[in-house]
Amino acid sequence: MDLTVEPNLHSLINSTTHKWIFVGGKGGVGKTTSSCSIAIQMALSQPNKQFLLISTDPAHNLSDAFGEKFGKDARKVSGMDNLSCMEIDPSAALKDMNDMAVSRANSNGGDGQGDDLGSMLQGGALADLTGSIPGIDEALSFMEVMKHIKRQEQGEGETFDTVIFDTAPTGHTLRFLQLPNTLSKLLEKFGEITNKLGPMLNSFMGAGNVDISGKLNELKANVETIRQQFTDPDLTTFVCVCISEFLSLYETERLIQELISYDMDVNSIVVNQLLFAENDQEHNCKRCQARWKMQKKYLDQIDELYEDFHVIKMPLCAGEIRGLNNLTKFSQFLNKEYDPIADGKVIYELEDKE
Amino acid sequence: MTDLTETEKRRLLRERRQKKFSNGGASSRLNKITGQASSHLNAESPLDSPSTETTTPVESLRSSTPDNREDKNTAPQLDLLKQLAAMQAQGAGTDPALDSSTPDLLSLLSSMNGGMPSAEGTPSLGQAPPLAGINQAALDYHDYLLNRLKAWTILVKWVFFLLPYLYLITRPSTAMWPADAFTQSSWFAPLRNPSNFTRVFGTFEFLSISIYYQLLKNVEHKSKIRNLQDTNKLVKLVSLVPEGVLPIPNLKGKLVTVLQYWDLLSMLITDISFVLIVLGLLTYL
Repeated sequence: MDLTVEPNLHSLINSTTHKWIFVGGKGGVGKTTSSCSIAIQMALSQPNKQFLLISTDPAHNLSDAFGEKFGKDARKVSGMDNLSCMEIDPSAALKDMNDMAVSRANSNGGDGQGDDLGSMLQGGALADLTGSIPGIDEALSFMEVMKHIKRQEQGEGETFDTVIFDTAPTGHTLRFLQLPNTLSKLLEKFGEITNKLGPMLNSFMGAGNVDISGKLNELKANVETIRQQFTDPDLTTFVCVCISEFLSLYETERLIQELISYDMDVNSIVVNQLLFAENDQEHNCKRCQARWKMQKKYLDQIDELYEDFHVIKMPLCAGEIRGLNNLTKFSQFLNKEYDPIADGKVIYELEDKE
Repeated sequence: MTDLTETEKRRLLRERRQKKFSNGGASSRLNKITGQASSHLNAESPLDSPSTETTTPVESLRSSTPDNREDKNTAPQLDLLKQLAAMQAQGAGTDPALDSSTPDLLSLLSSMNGGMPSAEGTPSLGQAPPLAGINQAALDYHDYLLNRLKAWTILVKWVFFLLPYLYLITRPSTAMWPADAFTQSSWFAPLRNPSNFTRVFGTFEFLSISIYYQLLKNVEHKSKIRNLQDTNKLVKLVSLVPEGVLPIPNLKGKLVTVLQYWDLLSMLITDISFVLIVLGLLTYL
């Protein structure tokens, strides 16, 4: 029985079942580069499918990685027909909400209440109010997932076969991934109350207004769908990104354990910024030797700890990995593992993005 | 040997991975990582710590009470969510087009607002508000410990000291007192002298209240519930007021201090009342 694990992401890149792919890890280890690379490789290997890369990190990097501006709405990457990107911007989304609340309040103007509320919200009070709520980025990212599922169910607008998340550093990401579970529990309890008080609440709201119980049930069903999808290993997986250093390895292990505790599938680890100094006769300084020795120490530990994981060892490139061309060149090593001898020259071939 | 399909292989690998993280394997992996780097980082795994099993109210409290340091941010957060929900209630349902475009986030936030305080068993990442994690069983257990302490304190104070003492100073020559060396000694003499009553009573109150507070601390430590901060309704109400709304800084802390002094005063008044009642009764006997 052959249970060897390939040191690449070939199976994920060619997967036709995965709908949600999360890419995460400690800050500064190359999450954005890795998520862009996965998205590009998937888009290249499955040209008939549509892919969406979403940044849920409040400090967005996607625009800089591709060298073009992305916003809160999905926009295709120049030069790729089946890959779109978006950066969830809490302040912009909250401003939209504020504007909608203003127009709602104004349309309520007849009863006098609307004017007061409208004038209060004119200055962006709602956005200011909600913008300071801790975890609002995660809530908005979660909303995007819900909207996406809704669109797919209703067949409205642009739909995507696979969504890749370029996540925020570990803490934010875990909070985001925990939302379905937490919300599920909360809605369960809230549902018990509204089932008892529902008719009364509805009568308070008046005829023709919002059916609170109905809305809650709808939300509960959506959350449950997401929870089920996130815990289905055929639909969702998490790719951990790290560098070969102690703190990064420690945080990766904790992240993996947290993900397992959420019943999430995690089977791939991308190890970035490796020097492979012994194979680089041309650029083999004393510092590189020492650093490579340190990296090898942790690589040995990674190999031992994660023998059942896809461990992808990516090289440290001479230049910045920015722009579609550079990302495409770099990303090939996710599909087919990097060979320091045969592929060594690629790391010096990246174009300068001036 | 049969060839495995890709799905079967993935499943088998997944099971193998899960096996390695189970039965204490997760913590030993973290230990290995920290051990080899001589690190002092925490090597306790989230997979090995019990999350759902609750054996005693205190155990369940330990797993569900959010860390106090995180609580500081949650009260204003809850308040903001409440205001947001109020806005939603005012503006909801007037324009179907607008309504269909934003219900999810508003519903999400309003449901978080309504649901958070009753959440149980959610880890600290869930950002539960203060006391949301303290369940009723734990509070009942704390009340039981507190009531037991109060009952014992009163029993010991009144029955074993105040009552005999009051009887002694009002009936110094009764045959009830043993004529042994101790009761007749010069050390015991000040107790028999009614003019020393205030000094003796004051000393006794000081000692008994000090011992009571020390025992109360032990109870709080045992139940993980701070008596006034976590159980007093007035303190709970004041903790809902965001910092900065009122001109008094750290209102909750000040209120707790005042309530502690009031607690102390009420104990003293109760004991004085007891003394007066007993003295009154003894004059008729």
